[in-house]
Amino acid sequence: MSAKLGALRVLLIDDNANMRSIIAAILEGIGIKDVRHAKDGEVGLGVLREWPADIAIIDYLMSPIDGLEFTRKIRLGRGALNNQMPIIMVTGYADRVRVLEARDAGVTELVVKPVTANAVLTRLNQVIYKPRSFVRTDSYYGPDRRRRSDLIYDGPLRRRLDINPRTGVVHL
Amino acid sequence: MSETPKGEMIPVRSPLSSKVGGRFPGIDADAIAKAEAALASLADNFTQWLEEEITKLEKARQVVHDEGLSADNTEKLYISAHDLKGLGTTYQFPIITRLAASLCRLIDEPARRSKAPLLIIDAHIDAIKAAVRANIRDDSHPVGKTLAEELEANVKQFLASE
Repeated sequence: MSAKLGALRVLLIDDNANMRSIIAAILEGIGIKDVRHAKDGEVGLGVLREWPADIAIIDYLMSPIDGLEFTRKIRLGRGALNNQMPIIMVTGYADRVRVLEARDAGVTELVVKPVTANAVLTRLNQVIYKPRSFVRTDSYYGPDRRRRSDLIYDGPLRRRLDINPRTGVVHL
Repeated sequence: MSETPKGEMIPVRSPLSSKVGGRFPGIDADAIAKAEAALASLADNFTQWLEEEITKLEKARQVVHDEGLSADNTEKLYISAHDLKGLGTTYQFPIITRLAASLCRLIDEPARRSKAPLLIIDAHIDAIKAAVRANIRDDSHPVGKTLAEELEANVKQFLASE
């Protein structure tokens, strides 16, 4: 059975209209046509309250609400927002500090510019078919920040973020 | 000894796979080819879109010249440079991505933007415009390569002196 990608609703949030057109074209190429546009995070949040999207593809650098703040507001889940919505951030930043900022805000996947069809499709595949569980701690709610959880691992917890598969406890 | 922070794992409530069914075609070459073709169909617009981005950058530069390197003015300049960095390669001008990335490095740190030499900012913007005018698309062109290396060296020197 082929996937019915046309059933997906995608919200594109970027202050650059041309970048939105580029990503929309890639989505349309694989049959995703139910796409809405927003020029910043604030407008995007307004759209989501009326039109719950399945996936948001967002820019990092926007004003007045940038990609990080948008993601944090989504993860808070107030006002009927889906706090588990996959968020794919498209960014010109590839440095470690900003990548970690995005991860810690609750971004699901990152695409580093220049945007390619392959990169967008790979991340879509990831959020649709390999969704990460969510983690809630005192200071974080969002996708499991480890790429993979070793569900049968029962040894000592060594990483900065580690989860005991028996108890589900997250050790930060 | 501090208490170890604890948390809980929460499964995804409504996996999107249940909505779309099947096996995602994004992993096969056919889907990538379709998406790339859709992207390529926009190519006729790229010249105009690139001009729009450069016009925005030029306007931001003009404001900086007229009003100075205030936080607001440099932020607009940075956003324009950052957009060009991200879009240059898509618009088939990888050299613009490289030149704009160098400009972004120069003014990346908001606290130090006001000290950025206008001469180096101008040189980047002039180089970007010259690349478009002369149709220099990447650094395989000797002029493009020399320009990029020269500007990057200037930025490195300035940042090291700060």
